[in-house]
Amino acid sequence: MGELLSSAMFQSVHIKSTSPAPILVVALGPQQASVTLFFDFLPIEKRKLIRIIFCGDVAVQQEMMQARAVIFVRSLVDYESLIAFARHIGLPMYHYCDDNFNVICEEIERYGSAYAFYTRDNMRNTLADFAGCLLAVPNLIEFYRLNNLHSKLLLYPPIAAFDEYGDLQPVRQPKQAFTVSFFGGGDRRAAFNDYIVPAVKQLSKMQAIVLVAFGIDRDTVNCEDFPNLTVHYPPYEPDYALAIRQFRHYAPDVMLHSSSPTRNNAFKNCNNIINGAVAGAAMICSRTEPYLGLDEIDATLLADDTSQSWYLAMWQLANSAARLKRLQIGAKRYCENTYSGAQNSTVVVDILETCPPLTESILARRKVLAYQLAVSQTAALERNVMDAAGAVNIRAQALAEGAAQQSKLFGELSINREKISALAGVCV
Amino acid sequence: MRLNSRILALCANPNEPAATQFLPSAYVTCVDINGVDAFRLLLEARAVIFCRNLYLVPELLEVARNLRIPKYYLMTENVVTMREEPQHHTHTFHQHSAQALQATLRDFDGVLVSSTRLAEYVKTAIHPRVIELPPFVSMLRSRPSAAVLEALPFPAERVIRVAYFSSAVRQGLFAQVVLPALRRLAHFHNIELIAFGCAPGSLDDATSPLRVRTPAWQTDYVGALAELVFWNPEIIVQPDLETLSTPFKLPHMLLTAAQVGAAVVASRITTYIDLTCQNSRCVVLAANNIESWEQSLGLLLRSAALRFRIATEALSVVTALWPREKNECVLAHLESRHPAPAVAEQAIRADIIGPVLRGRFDALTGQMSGFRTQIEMQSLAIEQYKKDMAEISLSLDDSKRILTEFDSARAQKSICA
Repeated sequence: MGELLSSAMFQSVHIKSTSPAPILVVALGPQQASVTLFFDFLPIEKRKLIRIIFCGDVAVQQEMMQARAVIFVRSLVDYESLIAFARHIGLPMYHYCDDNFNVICEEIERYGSAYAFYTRDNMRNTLADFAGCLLAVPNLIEFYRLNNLHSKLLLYPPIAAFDEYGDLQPVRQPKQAFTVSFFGGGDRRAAFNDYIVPAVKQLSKMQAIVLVAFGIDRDTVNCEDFPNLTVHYPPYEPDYALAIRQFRHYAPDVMLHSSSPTRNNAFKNCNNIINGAVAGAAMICSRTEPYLGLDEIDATLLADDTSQSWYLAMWQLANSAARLKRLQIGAKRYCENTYSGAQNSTVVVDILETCPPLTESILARRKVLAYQLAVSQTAALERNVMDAAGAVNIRAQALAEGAAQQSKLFGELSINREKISALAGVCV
Repeated sequence: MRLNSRILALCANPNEPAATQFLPSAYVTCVDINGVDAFRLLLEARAVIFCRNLYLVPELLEVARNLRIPKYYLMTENVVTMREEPQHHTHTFHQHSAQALQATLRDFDGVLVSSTRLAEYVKTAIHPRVIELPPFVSMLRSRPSAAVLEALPFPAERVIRVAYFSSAVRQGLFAQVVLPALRRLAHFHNIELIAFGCAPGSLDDATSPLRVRTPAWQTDYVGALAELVFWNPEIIVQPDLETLSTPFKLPHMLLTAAQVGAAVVASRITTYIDLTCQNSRCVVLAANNIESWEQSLGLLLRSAALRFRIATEALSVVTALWPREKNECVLAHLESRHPAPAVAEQAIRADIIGPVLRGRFDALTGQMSGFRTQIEMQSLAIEQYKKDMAEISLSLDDSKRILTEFDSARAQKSICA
């Protein structure tokens, strides 16, 4: 990986066109929800100012040369060499995050060691020469401020751009029955099995019900004794646009959003309500952050961590068309009010006002700096090649000596064997 | 600031005298033309000087042509005539015909040459703009420290060391005329010959009491010079033939000898005849026959005072002839003519050199993966070797055990019998 990226670096010294968008958004998965909902859905005038690019693209460095600022999406580890490059050419860097990686880092029993890097010290050190942090919720900003992770913290929520989704008609019509859908990431599946499945089964005893379980393994739900329950298992789809289109095809009446207990819940944003609202669904969420209080404004119903509680919530919506309608409208209204994109536009403007416009001399300086980086990488590679040549020689010598030793022993052995067969002959 | 933007000299070896004795380090950075450092420095160099072998790395020559960077060629010998008589020279410069040089140097800003004769030659045959740049005395005579002298394997009695410090092409002439003279003289003087680069044992002769040492010739001139200083010779011999190239050569050995503090005995060729016209007492000449060398060497061997006087005279001649200030003056002038490249100019250079650097990087990547495969295969071979060895030593132990059993059985038999 290191070598591949450094080899791509040489392209950066050879620039032909000028990039149209001044802000580069670098992501591990450009189609992920974190990119689409937060950057791709910027109001059109601001959307023109950013360019979203995959971090493994060979031309990343070339594009960085001509950007006024770069935003790294979520990870600080995966872009190590790109961050080093941006730092080297003096490109202002921003970091965008919608989870509290530090909390995740500390909850090893829950998240494993994949986030081990995100200690407060590591985050603080890496972010030290960043120009700012874009954070999805005020709680994250507060956390960064309290822990002194960075001095420039900008609120950057998801964007509910309902126009962007188009008027896609559900294709699986006519709808057979009341439809509920689970549409969440892997960390929510435990709660799905524990509370949602029993609740849905119970509800199906009274009425026909369709459960659309995205990303859940086929036949997880045993329907043998529940003739009124139909379960669909669409596979997990990392491409947000595709996933949401599939989700809408099923025209769910209710979206079920269970959460698992983690301190990170307090730092999450409500982008799933956008997803539900796009499909015209009403929401039922776990009674935990960040949804507490949202039931009071009818943005969602809340369910406790019991199947009984989930059952009751679903039952209410299944049996009151008015209630269902109110919550469906409530979810959409909440998104329109909270996630209008206005704040995001302000941040984009702020970034452009902070980062100097590109002049010929800045471009030239970057080119020179990139070239020098390429030279030192070539020099390092040259040293490695020399070391490897040395190692090969030493081993070749050792092998030759070994072979000599081996043939000596072998000689001894065949003399002994001859002696033995001679003696054996005498004995006979 | 001069530190950052300098004149860059590209040489086969940054320590070679062709670079270090002509280009004062205050103005010029000498780098290995094959190394990555050259790429680093090219970007901000004021000008670039190709040293001696112009065609060593054609890709860089091509790059320099495309860059808008002032270019010079440093010529310390007549490479054109040397090419015509390869038998007499170590470096034969087979690509350096007058026509080739003319064509290649067309867009060069000038040719730096080491002597007036060479300047005239270049001006008429190769390039109109010629700048004279003689060598300069870079180090003053530096005797080894007392500790080093103590450690030297000195014979108990007084010995005079004579050094042969020259390239392999002169070894034939040396063996033909100088060695026999030294062998004869060794009967009367306590001489130790320090023959650099000669094959060990090749100079031995049981009939002569001449002692011989043959230190290896170091390709690095600075290192070789340090070794010469270590042996502390009082006389240096420089046999040479008169060739087409001789008139253009410098009495280089005098510079070396002056730095070591030795007296030079040289063949009577144009190079040294020119010098003795100016000062007859800085070098002793000999015709290329044994008798003449015996006579000249004998003169010096007999008189320590004479050796000292000639060595001292040589030092004063070279310091007067080749002062460092003269070279610094020439380079300062070049520096003022060629301003440091602005960042915009450097960026243009980066665009041009980038692909060449990329090629270098790719080649290295290829080499690296080759080595990786080799290392993997070696690892497999080592594993196999360990397995085989274990097997063989097991079988060997077995066979030994069986043999011992046979022995004891036989012993028992004989007891029974």
